Amino acid sequence: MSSIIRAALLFGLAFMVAYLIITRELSYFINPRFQYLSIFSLIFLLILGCVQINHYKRPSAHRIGTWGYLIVLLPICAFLLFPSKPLDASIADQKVYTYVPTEKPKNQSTDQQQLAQEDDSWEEPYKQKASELEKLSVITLSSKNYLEVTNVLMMYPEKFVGKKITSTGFVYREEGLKDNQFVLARLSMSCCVADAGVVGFLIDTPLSNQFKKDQWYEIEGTFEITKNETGEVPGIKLKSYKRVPALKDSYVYQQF
Amino acid sequence: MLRLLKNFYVEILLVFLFMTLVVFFSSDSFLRFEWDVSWLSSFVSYGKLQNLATIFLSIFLEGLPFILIGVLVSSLIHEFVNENTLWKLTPKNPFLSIPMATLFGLILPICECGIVPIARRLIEKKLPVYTAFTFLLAAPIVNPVTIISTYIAFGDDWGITLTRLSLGAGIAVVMGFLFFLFFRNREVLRNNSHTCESDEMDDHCCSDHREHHTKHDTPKWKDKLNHALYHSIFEFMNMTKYFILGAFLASVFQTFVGFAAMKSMASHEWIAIIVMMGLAFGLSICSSSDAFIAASFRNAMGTAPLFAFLVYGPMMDLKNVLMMAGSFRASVIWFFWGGTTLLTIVSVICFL
Repeated sequence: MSSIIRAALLFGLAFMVAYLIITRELSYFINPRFQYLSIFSLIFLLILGCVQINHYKRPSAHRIGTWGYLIVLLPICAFLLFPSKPLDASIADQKVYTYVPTEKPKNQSTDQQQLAQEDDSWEEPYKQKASELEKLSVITLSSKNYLEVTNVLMMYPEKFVGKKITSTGFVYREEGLKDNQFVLARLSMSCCVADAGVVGFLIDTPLSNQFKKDQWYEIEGTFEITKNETGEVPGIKLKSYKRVPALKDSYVYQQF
Repeated sequence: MLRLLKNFYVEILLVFLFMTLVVFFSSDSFLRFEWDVSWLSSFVSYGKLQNLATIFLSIFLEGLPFILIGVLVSSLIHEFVNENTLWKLTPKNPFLSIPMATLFGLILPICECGIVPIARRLIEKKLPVYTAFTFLLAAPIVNPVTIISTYIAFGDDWGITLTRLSLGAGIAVVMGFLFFLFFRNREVLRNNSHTCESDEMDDHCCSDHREHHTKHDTPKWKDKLNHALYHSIFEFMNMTKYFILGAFLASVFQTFVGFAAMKSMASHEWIAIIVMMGLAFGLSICSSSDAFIAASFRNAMGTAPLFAFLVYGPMMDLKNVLMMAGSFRASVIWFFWGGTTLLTIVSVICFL
């Protein structure tokens, strides 16, 4: 009897992973870069399920107990009961606003030591990207290039201040922001939702009151650097804006 | 009523599972399935509950492959590697064997979930106590699965991975020598722990394996593989059980407490270190995937509290202590707990 439960749980988990991969909803939970790991777990769960069915009469190797089975059922229940969708903006209050991606190579002390020795070859791809961006008349931030471009912007701010820029995001306010300030933010994900952080551009405008929390806007303006207590943060000088519907996949992913 | 539940829990559970599946498949919008759970919003806002479920599933999905890899490897080794051989290769001199034991994890990669029964069996097979405990402490950190997952979780950063490894190995060595000083000639196992019947942790009762080992003296590798896979089902269930609880508690923490609270605490490094160690102890996250949870604290925490979490968690946590209580004497566990806690605090403060 308990062997049927084990088989059902294994196949249930496998079904859940397969469903998420096929519908591409997996990217709401983990960085698509790690999809191959989930494919591995799917295959291995199926193998284990088949082995369990083959040995359905064999006595248990360890006792697991009701609570054990109930707990393993929990993820399946969470999957069935709740629609899979990205975190909504309300979670941002529980997160830490970092303004810029955490993986900024400049800031990593370990890298810095190594890099000092290996002359500046690591900078090449960033420099290349920077000169590419310089040629554009307007820098448009999309979900795909968001973190990469903000990285480059913050590495060579002197090249880009005053440059036209378009970005989409939700309105986010943090304690300590002035009344005429808000952040046009996105949630960045390096591995899974648990490590998501808020990134975005600080916008300083007298119209600030018109932007309601958690609403999505597409904003056009020029890039600028603003100073606040945490240091220099990227900002946009507002030129024009329009309300847009919330993106289906609201994350920006770390590409490494 | 309770007896009814106790006798028929398997059937009740199955009916429940079956009904959930029926409801799921019969709903018209199978592909765009949404259940009305708005009644839950009476006591907690729906948005938060939704976020809780999302974070929980996310941690689970990210950790799942690593747990499966750990289970697979440990079951294969359980079947194909003889602990006796391992023991014969160990030098008798403690100054050699203790540092060597930290590297066992590289050949025998097992999380802290599977390590306690193995360490106990090694002691039963007359492996010196200090060597076995060094192995018990080091293996969850110094093993390929943990190394890879830490490396990935922290965005391909070798610095953090190597610091974690050296701190873990260092503490394990110091604890090994402490055990050499204090427990060289003392009994550490509980009196009756060599028989399965009196073992409190019947989760890890090994009657089946013993019978298995004696029955087939020279089993074919196919049988062995088959048994290894069968065994990994149970190891998987027993390991995910703790992992799911940990992921759930972590997601509750993330949705309801959040980092804003942690941020104010992070300014007092002492408190942050203690809190992170408490979290590591309470969450009991498997060392093969705890790096992903630690990575989520990276934004809010300094390095010292972060490493306190990364180093203390694999060595000492709630489920580990429960498992050890079934195998070792109380004095050993107190010594073990006190030693690792103090050493973690000291090393984190001195080196970071």
